[in-house]
Amino acid sequence: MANKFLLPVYKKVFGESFSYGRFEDRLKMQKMVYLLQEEGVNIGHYGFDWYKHGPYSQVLLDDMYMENGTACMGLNYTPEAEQRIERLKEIFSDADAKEKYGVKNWTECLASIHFLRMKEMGSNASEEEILQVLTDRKPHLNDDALNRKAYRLIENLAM
Amino acid sequence: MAIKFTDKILDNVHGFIEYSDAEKEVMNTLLFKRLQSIKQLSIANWIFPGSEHTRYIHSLGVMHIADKIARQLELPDQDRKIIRMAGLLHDIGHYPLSHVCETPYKKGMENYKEDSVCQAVNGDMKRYIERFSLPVAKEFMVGSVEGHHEAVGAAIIRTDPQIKKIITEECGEASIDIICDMITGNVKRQDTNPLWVQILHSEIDADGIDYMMRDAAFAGTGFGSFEMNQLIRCFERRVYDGKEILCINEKGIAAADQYLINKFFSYSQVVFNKHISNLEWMAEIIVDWMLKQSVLFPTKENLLKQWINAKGNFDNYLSFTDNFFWKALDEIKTSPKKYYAPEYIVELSKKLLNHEELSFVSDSEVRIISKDADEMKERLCQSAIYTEYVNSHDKVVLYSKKPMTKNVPYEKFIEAIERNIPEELQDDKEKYIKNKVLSRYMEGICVCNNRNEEIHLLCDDDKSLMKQLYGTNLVIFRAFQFPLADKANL
Repeated sequence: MANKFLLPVYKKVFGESFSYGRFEDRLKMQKMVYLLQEEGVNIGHYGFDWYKHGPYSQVLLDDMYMENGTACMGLNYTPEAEQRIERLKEIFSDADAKEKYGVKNWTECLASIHFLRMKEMGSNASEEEILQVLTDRKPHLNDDALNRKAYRLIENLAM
Repeated sequence: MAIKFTDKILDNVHGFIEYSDAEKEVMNTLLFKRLQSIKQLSIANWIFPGSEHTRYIHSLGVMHIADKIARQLELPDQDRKIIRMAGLLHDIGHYPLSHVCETPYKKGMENYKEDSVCQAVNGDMKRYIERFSLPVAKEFMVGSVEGHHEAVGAAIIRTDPQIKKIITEECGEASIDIICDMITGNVKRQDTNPLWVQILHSEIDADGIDYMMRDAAFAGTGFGSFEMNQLIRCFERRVYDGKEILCINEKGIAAADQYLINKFFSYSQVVFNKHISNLEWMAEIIVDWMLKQSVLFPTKENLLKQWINAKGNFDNYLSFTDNFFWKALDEIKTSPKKYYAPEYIVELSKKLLNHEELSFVSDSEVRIISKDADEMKERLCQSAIYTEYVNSHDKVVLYSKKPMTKNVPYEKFIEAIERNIPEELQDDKEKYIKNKVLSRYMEGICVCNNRNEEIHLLCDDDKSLMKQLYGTNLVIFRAFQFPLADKANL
């Protein structure tokens, strides 16, 4: 079932149009939807599992495929949704992170930390333990300072 | 330490339900007693007058059934304590009017413009019909997200010092995570046995078993009848890919079929009843507006950060019951200007306060039971629902949908998930397919036997009706007169 929110929200967050043919776009969409959904923005109800690039939903991929190329609708967001989307946009736009990780890896880092912290590891798992698992599974995310920054941002995102 | 029951309560569905001192402590908390002021079936009692039962007794029933399943599986008492506690607390986060007030918290990033409500609602319906399909379900054990009453319940359990203390003393500190996972359906946490999650979250779970029986008993219909004891005595456990799976042995197939078929009919005849559907929709629209305008009802953020806060001050949340909803409507009716309430919200509020439905557009109902998506789409597109009512400025089209079962036979499922595996998953393809199969077994009704360790779903079993009925879906579309015509033309 297609999802009319995907394209306009992607454009709002990343400031560019989505293209299904680009792997980077698909990955950014996956992480954006995961974090928005977890943050309480009702962009859909997708089930995410952990794969090579972090939390991933097959049904979301199907919806991306269906929506690709359709007109990007204008939406009249609720104030709460608007606020959450802007907050995520700000986090994704972190200049330091964009420079060192690139947007793709930065979104992957944020979503992966969230998944480990909230879904997979115990609620008493420490920051050290979570970041250790992150770097064990994703050696390309090896900037300790950035990872800690991501952890703080995810901690503050939690409702 | 063994469970010691110290008292019991009389339930007209299950007879006497026993409970321990720790469970009694939970039952005596104001947070749990709040559930006595939330009706299980919201306003269904206007149509089925006996449906007065509350989330309170349903929670006790789920605890009772979850424990029956746990005993059948021969789980030790220490595990049963946790499972019972999860059953008891599974609905502690429920909203006023149950799912009715919850729905706006789970959907809707958009504001309806007050001068074009019909067109906005109907526009979504039109788009839905034009894209109508019955895709093979690919995601199972998805787990609840923020806004879902289960997520609210988990937040309460993690935050309320009184409930946390009771759980920790009775079941151990580690059980907090486990109980929250059981309630939210999270099978990903390493320390949570997915078998326990399945007791509360699967196609036949303690929650469904209780509400089927209870809703039928109180509504006065026969659709909730099934061989519960036969079903439960057929529960067993098997292991697939290192994870425990809740199964039934072959003697339970008929009872499982009966459960699914009766559930299908109970939705068709009670939940999707024409009168109940439109009344509940009216309530949802009003709550949706209140939420988006931050008026009377708390926003999601306020609910979780202020009403359920780290200091355990739940005063606001304790009053968040069915009465809260009716008081809010009364406020809108008596002081619309104070809340900048648009005319349609005031009209809908007045109607609900007067127990008045929207007028049904005669002969507008389209009710289809089929497995064929193309056939369904064709019938919908030929109906007045599509040719006339979705373009209406003064009528709204509402719909309901229910599958017989979410599952399809194994080959069809594998074909569906393998069809579009993208390049980024190719390295993980084997793991991906294994995970999908595993979660499918966790959520679906698995059948096992005494001859080998093989398991399969009901829809893959020659002895089950589900092998014939999988893919069957019920869709219902109806048009109702909206109290005010749209002023704008979109």
